[in-house]
Amino acid sequence: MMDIYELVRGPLAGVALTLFVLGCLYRIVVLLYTGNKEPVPDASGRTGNAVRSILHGLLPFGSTYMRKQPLLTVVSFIFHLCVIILPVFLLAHIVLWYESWGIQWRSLPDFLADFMTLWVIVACIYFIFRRLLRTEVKQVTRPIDFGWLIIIMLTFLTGFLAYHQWGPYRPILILHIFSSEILLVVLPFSKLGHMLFFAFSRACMGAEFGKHMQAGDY
Amino acid sequence: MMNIKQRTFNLFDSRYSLLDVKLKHFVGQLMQKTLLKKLLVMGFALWGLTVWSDAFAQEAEYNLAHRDVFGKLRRPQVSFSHEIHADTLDSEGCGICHHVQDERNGKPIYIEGEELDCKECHLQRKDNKIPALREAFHGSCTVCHRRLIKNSRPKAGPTTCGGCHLKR
Repeated sequence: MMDIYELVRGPLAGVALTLFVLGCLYRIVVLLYTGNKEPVPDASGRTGNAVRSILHGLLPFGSTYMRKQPLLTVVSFIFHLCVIILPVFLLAHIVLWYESWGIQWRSLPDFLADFMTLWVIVACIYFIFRRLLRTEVKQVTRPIDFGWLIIIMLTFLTGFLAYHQWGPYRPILILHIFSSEILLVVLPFSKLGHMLFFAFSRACMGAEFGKHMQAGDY
Repeated sequence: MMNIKQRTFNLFDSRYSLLDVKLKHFVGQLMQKTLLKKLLVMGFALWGLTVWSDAFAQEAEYNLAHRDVFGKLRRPQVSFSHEIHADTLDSEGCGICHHVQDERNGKPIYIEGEELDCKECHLQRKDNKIPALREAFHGSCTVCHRRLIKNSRPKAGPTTCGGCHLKR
């Protein structure tokens, strides 16, 4: 029988990473091929407005919706930073990359990694309650959206427990790796795909509304 | 009955001086001989022990911490059984871990009698081409365990972080 840790750390991790990359490529290629220009005289195609919208979406408090909800902005902005930076710059992950591919880079200090992990877990709880309680968010929430949030929370919680070696170490570690692999695979095909699509949607909206902002017909 | 008892007692009485002296002499000689023997045996054993420990200058169990290289440790220190590894890897030779760089081509080779600590060469990351100490440990320990597990030796050794870095 194959060692379960070795299975999720080796072949399954390879499968998940491959599906993640292929899935992302597939979604973006399909998006670019199926999109077509608006059949109107002045089609929204100004790159400047598009880029400006992406930039304002990336900056904290850069958009009106962020300025109106400061708590959400702080929680969400730091959450996104953590979710992207932590997996790449965590010491334990760097050691694994070295073992597999012989590559390495600088790692985050452990106390900071701990803080970031806890931030992600608390933020997930906040997002879950927000989806349950805020009417405008509730209306665009499907049951599976709670599922994604719970899997993200599970991934970071098991990672936190595994680092501190609290609880049954091996099952927790296996669960940590397996849940993160699920996240990688579903990312391009779920709401988590906003990682890929946020730039396109913001560019589209920016170009569209920018056109009207500069129309001068008020 | 009474008489016999009396007699046995009297044998060691100081009044029987000749017997007493003879007995004491005999016992003394015996003591000296055994003491000499004991000293000889002990000396021999000590000599043997030093020779043996010279030949196998190693402990059975090491605590790998290396604060002199790593500074403050970021993970719990690893307790490493040299005995188990030396026994298990007997057929593969000591060179699987204890290698030195060949002067001609820089490749790792095994020279008997030149079994160094890993940290003699594998120090912190600089511009040297060999792996740093942390990578040398992980590259040797984990990668070897994984290779053995793949070759259907499921109990080869830990491959998880906490398998070696046990929190105590």
